[in-house]
Amino acid sequence: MVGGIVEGLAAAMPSLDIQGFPAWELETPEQRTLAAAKIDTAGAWLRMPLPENTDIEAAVNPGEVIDLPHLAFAGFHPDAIYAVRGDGGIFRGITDYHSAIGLWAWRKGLDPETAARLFTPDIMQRLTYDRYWDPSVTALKQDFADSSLSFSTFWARLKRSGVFMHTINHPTAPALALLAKAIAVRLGADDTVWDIPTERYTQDLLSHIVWPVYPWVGTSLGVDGAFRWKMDGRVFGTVEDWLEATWVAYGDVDRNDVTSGRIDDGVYDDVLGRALVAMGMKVAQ
Amino acid sequence: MSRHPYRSLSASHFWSRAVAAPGAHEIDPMVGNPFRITADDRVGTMGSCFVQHLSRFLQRSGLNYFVPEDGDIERGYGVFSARYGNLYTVRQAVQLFDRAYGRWQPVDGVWRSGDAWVDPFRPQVEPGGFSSPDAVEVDREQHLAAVRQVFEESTVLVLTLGLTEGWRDRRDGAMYPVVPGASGGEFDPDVHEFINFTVEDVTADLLGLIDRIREVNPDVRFLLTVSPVPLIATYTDAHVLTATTYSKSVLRVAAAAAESARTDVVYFPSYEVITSVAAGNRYYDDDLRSVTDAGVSHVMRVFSRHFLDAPTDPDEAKRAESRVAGEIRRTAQVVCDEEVLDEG
Repeated sequence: MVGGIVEGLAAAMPSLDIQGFPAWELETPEQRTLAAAKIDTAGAWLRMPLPENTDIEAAVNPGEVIDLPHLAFAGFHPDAIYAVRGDGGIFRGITDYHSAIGLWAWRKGLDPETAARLFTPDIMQRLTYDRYWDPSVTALKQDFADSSLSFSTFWARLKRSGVFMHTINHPTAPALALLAKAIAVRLGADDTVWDIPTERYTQDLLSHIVWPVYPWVGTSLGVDGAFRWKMDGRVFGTVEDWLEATWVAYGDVDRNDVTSGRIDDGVYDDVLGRALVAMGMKVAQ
Repeated sequence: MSRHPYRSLSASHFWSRAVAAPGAHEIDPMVGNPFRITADDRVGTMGSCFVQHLSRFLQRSGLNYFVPEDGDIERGYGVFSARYGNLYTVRQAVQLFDRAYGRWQPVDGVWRSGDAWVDPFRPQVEPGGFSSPDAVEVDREQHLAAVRQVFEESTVLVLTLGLTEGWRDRRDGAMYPVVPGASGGEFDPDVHEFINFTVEDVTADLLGLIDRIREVNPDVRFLLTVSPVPLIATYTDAHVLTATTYSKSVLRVAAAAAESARTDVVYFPSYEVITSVAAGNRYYDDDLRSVTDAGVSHVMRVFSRHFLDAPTDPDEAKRAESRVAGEIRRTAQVVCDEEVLDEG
């Protein structure tokens, strides 16, 4: 996200001298010291408040601190979740994102072909995949309220831009360009900045992962959908292809060592369990 | 704070709250729940092509989509409640009623179409046409009997208003669904003429149709819609876009007039769902004319919410939203952990 915000802000306010510090450039003590020195003398520090950066926060005294929203939004991708291992680490498949339906099926020992049969409109409706929009808006609004930026114009423009997320927490380039405009206004730009098409000057640096808007979800939200996953450059054109690759990535991981708040709350057991019974299959406990 | 009449109004009265604020897919321009449609109802459909979407939805929803003239869909059966084809103008529907009850007999009875014969008032329902004028007549009698069933036995009748422009027979005013010569028959400027109905014409026709049907079916409830599908072509001197605006405006005003003048006549705003500025044309296909599945789905969500007897459990909905909200908060917290892993 850092790259997109920097490019968007540069397009919105070309006279600014902007430097970005993505997380992977803050890994060593030397990197952090260098970053802190630059931030300390900056006119403004744009940051996403994170626990791991408290040392930098304590060491710097920039002209102004502007807290940014995290920009997570699950409305388009209600089936995309994270999962964790027994040791608390993030469980990684092809990437860190998992299909909730797929992960549930894998933990139950289903094969990809059977699991693919669970990606139906009826099941998605029962899993309330059409009801992630409103709470996602509420959460995003709160995210902005906790930040230094104003939500209203940003949101009015964002929601007109169609599908503005690649995943639950990867915004598209136009979305980051809009965020950059909100930052520009906070930095003193006048409202005409909203009308500068800065999205044309912003690379989409997060499109290496694209979680699909499932067709039924897309229809419910009035946007196009398709079962087409893009994961680190590989594109999977069917649910079954995606699940087969996912099962391979999961390898011989102990199914009982993987948990996720979403699929452990009983709803998936109920909805998907019933669906399997309707298919004439037994469900492992 | 000053007091004025708008202060007590609900959110649906205010553009900012009812149109600008919601997601495009959430816009619901229907106010109130005028009546419920249950599995015991017989729901008839007629009008322009857009009502076909509703017909299919009724079938999928387990409701009683009333089709007394049933048969192979390839031959035009089941597309509407009877095999009348598209009734684009209200005048066509009025004349259909009068023909069905023997009140009127048009001059034009049968058209030649290549080697076959077709019914001028539904020239496309039989693929390849009929084998003889008699075959047209036999099928028509059967058809008009089914039409009478639709009028007499439907408990809810969905009528979609499509067009104000059309072609008619100068001799008796008989309205055709398509210009003669396009799907059979021959165009003769001495016999056939173009007409673009006024709001007074359409309102009078609509009230006349409702009153006629209530003569044979006093308790039927009407659900009126205006097709959001633009004109494919106009024969007026106007640009097709302004001609479309005229046509849809007339139909919309006529529907409002009928709703106001008669009981149990309800306007359902599918037109507004599809054409609203909030939708931003996303509900039209690349031809900017055909309605997309997402648009139809939106219309049906609104229809279900206000007319079907399947209310969502509000507690269940709240629980779902609460669960989602907690998860989104947790997702936001892992954003950068995930980014680090991805870049690594």
